[in-house]
Amino acid sequence: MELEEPRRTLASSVLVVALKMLVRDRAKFLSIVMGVTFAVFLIVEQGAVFTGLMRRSGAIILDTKGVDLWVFDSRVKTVDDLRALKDSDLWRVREVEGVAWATRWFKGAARAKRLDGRYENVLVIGVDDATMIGAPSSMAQGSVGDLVRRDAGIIDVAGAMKIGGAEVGEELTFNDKRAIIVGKSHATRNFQSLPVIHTRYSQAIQWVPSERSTMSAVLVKVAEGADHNEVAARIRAATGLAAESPEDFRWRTIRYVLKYTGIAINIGTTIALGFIVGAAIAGQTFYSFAVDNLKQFAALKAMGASERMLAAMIIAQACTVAGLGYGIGVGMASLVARSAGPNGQLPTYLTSELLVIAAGAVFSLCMGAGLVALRKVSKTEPAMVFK
Amino acid sequence: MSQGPATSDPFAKPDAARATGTVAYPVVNARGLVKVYGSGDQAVRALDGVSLDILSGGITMVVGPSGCGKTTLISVLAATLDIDEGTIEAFGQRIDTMDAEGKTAFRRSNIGFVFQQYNLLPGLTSEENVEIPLLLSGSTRRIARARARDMLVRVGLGDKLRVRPAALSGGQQQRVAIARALVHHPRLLVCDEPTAALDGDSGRMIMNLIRDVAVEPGRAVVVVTHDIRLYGYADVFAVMSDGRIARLARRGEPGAPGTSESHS
Repeated sequence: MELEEPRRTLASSVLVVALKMLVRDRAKFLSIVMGVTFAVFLIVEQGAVFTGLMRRSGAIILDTKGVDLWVFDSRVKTVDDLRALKDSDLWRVREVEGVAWATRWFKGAARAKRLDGRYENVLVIGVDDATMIGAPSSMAQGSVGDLVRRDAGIIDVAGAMKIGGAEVGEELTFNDKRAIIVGKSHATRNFQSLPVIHTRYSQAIQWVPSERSTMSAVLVKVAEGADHNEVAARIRAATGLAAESPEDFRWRTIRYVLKYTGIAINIGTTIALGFIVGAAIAGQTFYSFAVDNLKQFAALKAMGASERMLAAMIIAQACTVAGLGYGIGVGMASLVARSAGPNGQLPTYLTSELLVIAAGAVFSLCMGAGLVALRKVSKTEPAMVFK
Repeated sequence: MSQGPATSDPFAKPDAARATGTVAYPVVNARGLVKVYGSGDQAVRALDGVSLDILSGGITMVVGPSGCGKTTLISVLAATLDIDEGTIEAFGQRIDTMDAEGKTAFRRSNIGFVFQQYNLLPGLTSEENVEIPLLLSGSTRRIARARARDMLVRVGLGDKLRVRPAALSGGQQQRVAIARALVHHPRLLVCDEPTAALDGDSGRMIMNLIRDVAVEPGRAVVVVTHDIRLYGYADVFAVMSDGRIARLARRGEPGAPGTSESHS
């Protein structure tokens, strides 16, 4: 224990010297931090756009709360590609052992038109008339109960703005049929950024011209104590339909988007470029900082600084620029995400995983540059100071 | 003096030792030092069997033409460069057999450096630069700061404590370097061409400072220089030629550089 205090004193003193060396060489210090910031910003911001887009692609599934299983045609590739089921499928699902309840669910598209002539394509979600299962779980204005009114629909906040500022109580038409806005929801924006209208199932099929069969999917609650996977398997066996948890259905949709849209390649390329350019700027500047200070490091060695002390100094410098660049980069990306708002135009969605990945990438970058610099410093003879 | 092993008392007491009545004694004993750079046909024997005693309480000046091995000699004496053959004992410790970590610890405790190009850390102020040897030795920042200030006052830079090297003249930077070299009370001060980057007046001021502040009983000072104007500061000369000690002489003795009998 007696040795601990001097060691701590020595470590903190050496680190203070290292940080002063770094920070007071302002031009290089700012260049390194800017390089790291640039890399972090691109990684986090583009990553957030990517996760935002993926989230939007399964937004309807995410917003449908309280459901254990989705049942749909097995050929469906995405939630935007639902094929109509027969009404009898609902009864077949209800008869499966382990199903607590099952309700019908509708999704279709309509053209909404305001009285002033402005129009917009909208998504129409029809929920079970009796139970309202699948209705918005978070309301900004009005209540789900208002859907019992004739021609009633609830529009999402972002959608209301997109349609030109539709207000509660406003009358408009969906496919030339009368509709009235009775509330606003906080529905998550979808991949196409279309306004989302929630209404009763019976109302939805009046607004949206349909095939002979109208039901898009069946929403299922698994009985208490029953195994979800087993119930899903039984539904599949009994009906020949697909039965998946909301998470699996969402991933089915995301996989489709990733496979057929090229989003992953585009955004991945931007992220990789950001990392490479940031690494080049930060790595090169950090390395040249170390090389420029080689004689000073040699002088420190001559004065008795051990390899371990020098390593601690360089690692402290690397961690400092990494931490600062990370903080500023994440801050900037957060500002962009915040300016977009939860329902803004930009599909940004910052996740903790993204922050961890960016932290890992940037600390690897800085430590890599630090280790290259350290190698150079380690090879430097203290006798170099006499040359 | 001829090439060969130095005796333990070839000279009378240096000035400082004489002034204080203390006995000058060899604190560094180097015997048969050989240092070869490169190999095969490219091999250069920078040190070729050098033996030398460094006495405490005075200035030993290593002189000689460029490429004669002066820098290599002080590098090995200061434990910053390994030798290929020979032995070096400093303050009772064999430094030629120490590993790198041992040499680092030895330098930290026993040696102060004054370099031709000062080698101050540009990002640090004068007092922060002077603190470094103390911090490396584990002193607290408070103590290091107080001692650094005292030392800077002793070298006449009490008004430049918080000034960075770039804002100081060459002479002032070298004074900071001397303060840094002495702040932890090393037993050996190694100065490599300390006046080479300075004009004549500044050079003399630096040498006066080294003589007044650095030289004291129990401490040895080794100065490598080309500058014949500084020869008057030496107590002992080691004249080098082709990797060997060509002559050892006390200042004013026949054969010492600067005397009519010298042949350097």
